[in-house]
Amino acid sequence: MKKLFIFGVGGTGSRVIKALTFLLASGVKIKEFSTIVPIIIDPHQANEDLKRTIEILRLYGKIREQLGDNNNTFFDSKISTLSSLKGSIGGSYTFELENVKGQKFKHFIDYDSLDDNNKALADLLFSKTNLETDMDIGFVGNPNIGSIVLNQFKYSEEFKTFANNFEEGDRIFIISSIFGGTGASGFPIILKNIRTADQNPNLESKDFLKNAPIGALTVLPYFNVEFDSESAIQKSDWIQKTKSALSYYEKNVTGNNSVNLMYYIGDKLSKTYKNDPGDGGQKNDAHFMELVGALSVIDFANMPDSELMCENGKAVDPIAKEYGIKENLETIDFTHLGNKTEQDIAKYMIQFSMMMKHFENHIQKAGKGEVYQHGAPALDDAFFNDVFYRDHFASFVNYYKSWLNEMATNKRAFAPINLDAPLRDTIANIPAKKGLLLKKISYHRLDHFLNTDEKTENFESAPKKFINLMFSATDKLINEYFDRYKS
Amino acid sequence: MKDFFAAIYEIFIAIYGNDLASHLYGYDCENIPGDGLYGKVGLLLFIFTLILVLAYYFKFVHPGNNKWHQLWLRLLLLNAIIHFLIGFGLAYKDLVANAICQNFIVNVDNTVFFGIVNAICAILLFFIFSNIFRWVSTHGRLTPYPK
Repeated sequence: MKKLFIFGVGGTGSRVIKALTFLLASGVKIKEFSTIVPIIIDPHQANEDLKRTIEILRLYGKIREQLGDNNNTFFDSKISTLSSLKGSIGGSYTFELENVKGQKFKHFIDYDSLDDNNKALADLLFSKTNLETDMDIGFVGNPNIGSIVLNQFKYSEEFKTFANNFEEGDRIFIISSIFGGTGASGFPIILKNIRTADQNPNLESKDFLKNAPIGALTVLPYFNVEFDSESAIQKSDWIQKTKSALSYYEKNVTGNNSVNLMYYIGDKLSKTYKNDPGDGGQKNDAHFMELVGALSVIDFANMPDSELMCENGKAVDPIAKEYGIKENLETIDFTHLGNKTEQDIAKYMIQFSMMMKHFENHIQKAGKGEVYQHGAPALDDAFFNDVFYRDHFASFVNYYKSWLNEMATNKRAFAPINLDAPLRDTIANIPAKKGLLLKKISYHRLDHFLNTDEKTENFESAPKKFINLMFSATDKLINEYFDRYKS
Repeated sequence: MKDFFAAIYEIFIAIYGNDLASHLYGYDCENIPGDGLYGKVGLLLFIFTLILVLAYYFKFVHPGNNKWHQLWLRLLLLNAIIHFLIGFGLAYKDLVANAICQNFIVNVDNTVFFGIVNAICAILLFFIFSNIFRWVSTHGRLTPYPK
């Protein structure tokens, strides 16, 4: 029962975990790992991206509670909170930073009580703006603040819980951006604390942890912000900050073989967002880069153990990876992804999208009362009005739709699914097959497969029946009408 | 086969009368049994009803319409009408062609009643076949018991 611990640091960490959650919901496989444990580290608790990710994780958890294990279908992977690994119910996906709420950075370091010499040193290391930074909204692009505040990580209850639950065979993945404050500073701190776990007297599993297979994603700039002379966030700083951080990583992260597998991604073609240091809620549209980030987690999880060996807290054979697409276009779809990526995710995402369309346009309208809904356990009004379907599933589907919509309208746009088109045009640039002897693709054809599969299978509960049938029926529909994704 | 169908039809012998029943069994004036009509009418009933039920459960009914029960009912009635006409028509044909032994007292009413009995048998057989084939049908499993 291997576990994959994923640290999502800062806003980018949240957004990549969100993309990963949607991929897992679609049925994308993470081989061998029975449980995914996301741990989000972000001092900016009011960040809309963070709140959205936590809500999506919560909904995923609620849906999966009803489905159980070994479904081999949508929501296949188990996503767990740290505390639920110990058997307790609920828990949080976030790491609670102490002494940051309503605090300025100068209060955190107790600046006012420092003697003159230390004050002078603090003034040398931190600008006046740094010292006055309100940490409720994060580290506002200042890794020098982040590296101080996030040092509490090793003393935290969360780190202890993580370390004590880490077992042989488990893996760790750290997601961060390199051009901001939280991610750029948080990643090396987490890494260092894991690799020096043997020096921490409060931890069990120290040796496993010290030599744990660690993968990391560092996201280079992939979006811009408007110029605002008053703002602490300046686009012009990003490249410089990226260079500085890379230079630091070269010596202290990749250079000392602390990471087994390092992923670097970024994009020059980017959208310009409103300049919001954090107090406006910071809600960025989903981006293709975040999906690529999620793919790096899957790639890392699927790597053989032999490629991720460590000795004395150092990777034996460290690897670095980048990601590319087939054509440099402003709008891309599945056909522009590498063959392996397309094979890994396209069919699952199409299946989920078809279920989503069936859910929005058909199941409770023209599709109501179909035979598959009547067999026990029934998908009747009680099911459609139950909290599973009405609240958890419907809300998750809405978030999934927004995710696809946002990626499709971002820059670079990733628009593989035509959300509002008829079923035959669901996949961008790949129309459904037609033929004299082939029935036209339709929701009724999907109902046909639902009826067929329902006849031959038994289900423990209505949610399980609904999700399993949708997965197998959409699979058959794609096999029949889209040769490119035939399995 | 004749005896099998005769045994079924003659459950309702009181409706269409002993004399027509004797003719349908194939008796002539010397009381020597011939082929009769029971075998032919019964076989038509069996085959036609089977085809109609199979067509309904495996061809006609498919997703996208919640009115399949109405079609089932229509087919049941159509089958009944067809077999009324077959039963009545074949018996009436013998009557007007004087092919029925003069000793048997058979009139048009008897032939109509035989048509009605054949229609009742068609309804019953359609229902029996429906209950057999619905279990193996993908889309017609709920017919004729809508939920």
